[in-house]
Amino acid sequence: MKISTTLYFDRATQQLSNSQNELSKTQEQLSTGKQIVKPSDAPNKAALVTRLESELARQTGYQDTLKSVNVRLTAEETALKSTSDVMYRIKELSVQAANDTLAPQDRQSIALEISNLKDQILSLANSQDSNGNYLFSGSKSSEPAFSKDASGRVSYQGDQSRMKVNVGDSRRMNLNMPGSDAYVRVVRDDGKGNKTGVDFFQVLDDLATAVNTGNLANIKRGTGEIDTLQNGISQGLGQIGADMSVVDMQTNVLDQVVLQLKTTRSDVEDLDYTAAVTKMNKDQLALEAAQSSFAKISQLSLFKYLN
Amino acid sequence: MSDMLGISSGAIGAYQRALSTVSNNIANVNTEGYSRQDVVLQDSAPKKIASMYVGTGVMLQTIKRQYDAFAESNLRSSTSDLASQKPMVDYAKRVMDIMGDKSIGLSSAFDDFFSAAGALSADPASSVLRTSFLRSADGVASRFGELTTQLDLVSTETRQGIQSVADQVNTLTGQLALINQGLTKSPNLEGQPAELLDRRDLTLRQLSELTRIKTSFTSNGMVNVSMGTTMTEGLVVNGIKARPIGIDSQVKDKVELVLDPYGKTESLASASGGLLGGYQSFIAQVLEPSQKGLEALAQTFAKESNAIQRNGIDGYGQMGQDLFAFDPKVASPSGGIRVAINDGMRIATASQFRVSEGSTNVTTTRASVLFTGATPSTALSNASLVNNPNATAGVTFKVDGSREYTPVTTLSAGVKAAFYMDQAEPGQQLQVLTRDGRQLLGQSLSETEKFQLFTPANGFVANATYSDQYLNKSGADAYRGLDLFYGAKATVLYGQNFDAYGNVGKSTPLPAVLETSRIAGSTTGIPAGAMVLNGVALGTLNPPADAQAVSDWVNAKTSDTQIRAEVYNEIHVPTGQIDFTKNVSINGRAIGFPSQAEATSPNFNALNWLTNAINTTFSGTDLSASVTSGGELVLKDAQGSPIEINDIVGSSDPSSNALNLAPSVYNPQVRLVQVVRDMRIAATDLDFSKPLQINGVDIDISTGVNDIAGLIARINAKQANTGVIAKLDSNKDLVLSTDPAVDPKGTLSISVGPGKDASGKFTPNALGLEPQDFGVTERLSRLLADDPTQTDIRLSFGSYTQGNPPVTKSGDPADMAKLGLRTGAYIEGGSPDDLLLFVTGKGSASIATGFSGEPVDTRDSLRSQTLQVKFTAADRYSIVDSKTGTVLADRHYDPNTLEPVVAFNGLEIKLTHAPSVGDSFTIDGNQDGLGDNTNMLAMVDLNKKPVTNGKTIANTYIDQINNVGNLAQQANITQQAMTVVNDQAVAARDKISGVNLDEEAAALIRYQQAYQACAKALQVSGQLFDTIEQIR
Repeated sequence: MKISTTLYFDRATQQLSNSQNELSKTQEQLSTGKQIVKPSDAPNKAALVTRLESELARQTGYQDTLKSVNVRLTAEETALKSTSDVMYRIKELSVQAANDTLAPQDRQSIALEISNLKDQILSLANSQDSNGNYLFSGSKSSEPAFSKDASGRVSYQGDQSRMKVNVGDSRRMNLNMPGSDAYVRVVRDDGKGNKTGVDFFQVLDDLATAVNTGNLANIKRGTGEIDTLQNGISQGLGQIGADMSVVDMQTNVLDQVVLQLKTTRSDVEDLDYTAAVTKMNKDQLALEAAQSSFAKISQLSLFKYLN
Repeated sequence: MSDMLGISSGAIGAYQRALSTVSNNIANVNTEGYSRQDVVLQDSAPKKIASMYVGTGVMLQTIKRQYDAFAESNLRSSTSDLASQKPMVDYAKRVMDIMGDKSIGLSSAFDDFFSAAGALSADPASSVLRTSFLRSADGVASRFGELTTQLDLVSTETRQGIQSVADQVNTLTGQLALINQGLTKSPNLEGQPAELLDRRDLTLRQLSELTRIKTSFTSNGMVNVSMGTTMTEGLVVNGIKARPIGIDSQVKDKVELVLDPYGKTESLASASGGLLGGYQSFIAQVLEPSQKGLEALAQTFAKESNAIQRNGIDGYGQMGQDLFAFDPKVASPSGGIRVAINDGMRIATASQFRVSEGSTNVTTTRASVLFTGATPSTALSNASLVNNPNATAGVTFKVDGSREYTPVTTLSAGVKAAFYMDQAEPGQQLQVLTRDGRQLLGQSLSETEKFQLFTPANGFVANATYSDQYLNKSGADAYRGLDLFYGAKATVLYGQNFDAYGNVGKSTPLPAVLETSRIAGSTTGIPAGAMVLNGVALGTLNPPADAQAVSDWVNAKTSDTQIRAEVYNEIHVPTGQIDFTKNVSINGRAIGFPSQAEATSPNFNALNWLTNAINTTFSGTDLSASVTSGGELVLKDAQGSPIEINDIVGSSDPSSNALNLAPSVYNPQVRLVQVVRDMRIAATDLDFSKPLQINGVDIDISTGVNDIAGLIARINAKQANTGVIAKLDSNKDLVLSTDPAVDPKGTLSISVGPGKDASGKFTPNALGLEPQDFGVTERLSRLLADDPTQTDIRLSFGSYTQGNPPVTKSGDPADMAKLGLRTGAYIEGGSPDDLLLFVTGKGSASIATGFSGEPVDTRDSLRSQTLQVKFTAADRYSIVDSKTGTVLADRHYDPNTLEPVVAFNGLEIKLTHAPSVGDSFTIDGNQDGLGDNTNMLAMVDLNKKPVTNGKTIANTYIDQINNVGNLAQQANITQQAMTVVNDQAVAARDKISGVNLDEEAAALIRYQQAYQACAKALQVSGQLFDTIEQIR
């Protein structure tokens, strides 16, 4: 078949530029370390990469949420643990006060300590997180969970919002604990068969008053009630412990998921250097061969021999 | 020329041409479109010498253009195919890179948005996170904008591309027409210059790169070109004429090509292939779907996130507002999407309702609340009741058989209404209840009525119980403090005032007036206590209870009720109704007609004549006639006696008499008027050191008066002169009243002074009032300012005992009708709860209604309330409105239910287990739940919610990238395949028409050698000639 001179030159230059394009693309891949530099490099894979990116962003979001939940839980745990310690001291004092050989002055000093300890618990119950939110206020996070009214009575000011937060595609966990769940009420009989709930701090107040006035029956009742309160704090601590283990577990799960996603993304997007370098060498070789053969063959002309 | 010289010289000439053809080929080796030319040599015709033929040499037959029509057309079509992929590949890749890019694409913006939502859900109170969520929302909006701008840019470019291709097509077709013109000179193809044909083929090839063309050639090589599907349509080159193509300016927002846009326009919808087709298919398959997809996505995203946002409560305790809005100035939604709020606190993170446990709850039962209700769409459930309070528009409700009630309608919450009961039979009552069985208006239900009425089919909740605690109560005792009333009522009227310039001035209050209709006189009367006027039980009304009796009956209690009654009888006849050609007979006296002289006098006025004639006829009686400024003739009986309109010549037709009135006895009416006799002066306003004048009489308080009792004593001492009585009211304030003995109607003024002193100044008086006459209007204004409820006339029902053994009975609408009054159930201001209306008592009654306002949004209404669920017994709970303390519901429930549910007006309160007595739960509108994340969780979940065709928002976008990617990939593959096909076509054409230098070199040598040989032959022939010449 006849090949015209123009066509021969056209084809030769086209092939040279093709080889050069291949080389420059490989070079771009090598310098970025990516198989797919622009989405258009692999139109069929671009959607997959975007989907993986989006998935990764979501999982990372869950990881961030877990971190902030953990901070909150740790703060709650600290507050409740300290409360628990103080409660032991109050229990000790109330048992001591129940001793009927005690002088009224001694009882008064015990009562004073119990009130001071109550104030300490109050400040623990009004713990705030780093953003200034009250931990135990439910959703009224800008108001103290417990506050004194004009008569000095402490009552719960928060609400009972028990909020959840997403920490996985199909996993929700507790975000907060309303103060009334840890600083529980006790049920007191009014002596006529009617039962009524009595607030945590009211119980402590009643105990302090009883100790102060030496009302042994009420001191005894208070001592019993302290156990109920202590129980409530322990249950709160148990709940927080359970939540924290959820945080740990979920953190592990998310780490796994993120690792898998990253591996998949890397498989799709990242460059196999060995293959790329090999390909570059091959392309280079091909280009050199094309150049040298073109140089030689284009020299061949019958006219050279005409003279 | 068979001789050697001739043969040689002819051959030299032929080879010279052959050599020049070869050098032409060599010279045109790089000329685009050049077809190689070849010489065709032929032996010239032999010459017959004797019996043999002798060759005569060679001749150049033709110079042939190397050309294959099939290879050429194949090349054209493959060029079109290849070129058509180029815009698709280039631009689809670009769209791909725009949409899939991390910094321009939407995917990463959505990721940001949802991760900001997630972060906010973990700490909703944080203003930092709120701001960052808002910023990420803004990020999404601006990404939409950037993407739209980029796609618009691509759109503009491709449109310009099409325009420029169309221009190029027009240039090329113009050239072809010129070439065709050049080709007309020769009748056949052989006679055409090869260069012109090369030019033609090259132009066609260039044209086929721009668009797919159809060609037809004439025998002399002229070409016709069509861009349509057949050679009869879409002809762009027709012989020596070319027709331009262009973009149709009639079609907006779309690129459509037409042939001859400025002449006889023809559609080019079927044009395809080439760059033009490539651009068009890119626009149709990639660009427009991408733009539309983006617009739909922007709308869906805004709609979904706005719906969530509107469902929650923001940081200020308000219902959430739209997060995104569309700029109306921007055409496409994706380009115009904007963040509509710029305050992080307006982000609705919290849920609408909240339930709190009571601080003295015994159990640790936990509650959750959910709103599932809907707002009713109509004010009344009974569509046959129309909004027209007139008795003629009434609907009849009948109670008979074993059923002791008939449902009237349900009144939706928030609608203000009044229901009137007419033609009621004795014992019939209009009853108004809430869905929870609180009776608000009517008469206490009997046990049978309660039993029959309380069913869900009648609109009651399943476990409703009856209560008449709020029945017919007003003020602080009323249901939720509402102004509800059952009976007949009149309120203060306001007279409109205008100043000298016609502007509306302050309106003056007028005492309430209740007018009855004409009272014929009941034959049964009303027992004592059945009727209550302004809280005071009225006495017995004995038959015949005519107007005068009713008036006396009311006036008997005026001192307690502050309401007086008066009898009046007036007949108002509009002038237009009067027929002056007829006679009229009143109280048996005919009025007659004007005399001829009167009727023809120039100043005759028929109306004046009639008025005068009546007054003349009844001169000396109580009946008189007058004409009002409003153009009505009024017949009035000063004593309130009945007025009779008699038949004229035995006809009872109203039109038979001049006044057009039905012949009948017109009974008198009773007017009940509020007496405003009292005037209260606050004790704190008194100053005993100042002088005082009442009704121009000096009250001497200069000495010895230092308390309010002293002042009262001094004022009352002058009662005979002033006609004013002073007393203390229940609040220890001073009350001045006109003396009933002097002023039975309570209309006289109380003038307080002293007035101006000698220098024209007002002197302060002991009452601290502006010195002036305090007439009814001033006293009423003061009363309205003190207590507006005291100014109404309210006639309602009371109970009485009758018979032996005594039975307690109650006044009813039938009794009210005896007084010529309508019984109404007035629901002023609307109720926050739906109300149910029933008629009880046997018989049929007509109900008419007037209402205004729309049903309130149930959710908003509930949010504004604070409700408390109290467990009052082991199996009973009540729902209390915290603001007014009204018990809205008192229900039974089964304490053995594992998770009890309390439902109220669409609210569902779920309890984790049964509460114990004394437990309470409060439901409010979550006004201060700043830290609540419930609604933000819904926003986070939007990331996973399938919204369009089962796909999430992010996936919808990714699928769009995928579609573009697939098209780009497909175009890439097609382009590669087409390149191979095109290369083959180029090679195939080249095989025939291309110039190979080696081949030409060989031809050069060949022809050169032949040329040299011929020259040698010529030389030899010369030598031969010389040889012969030398023979001498």
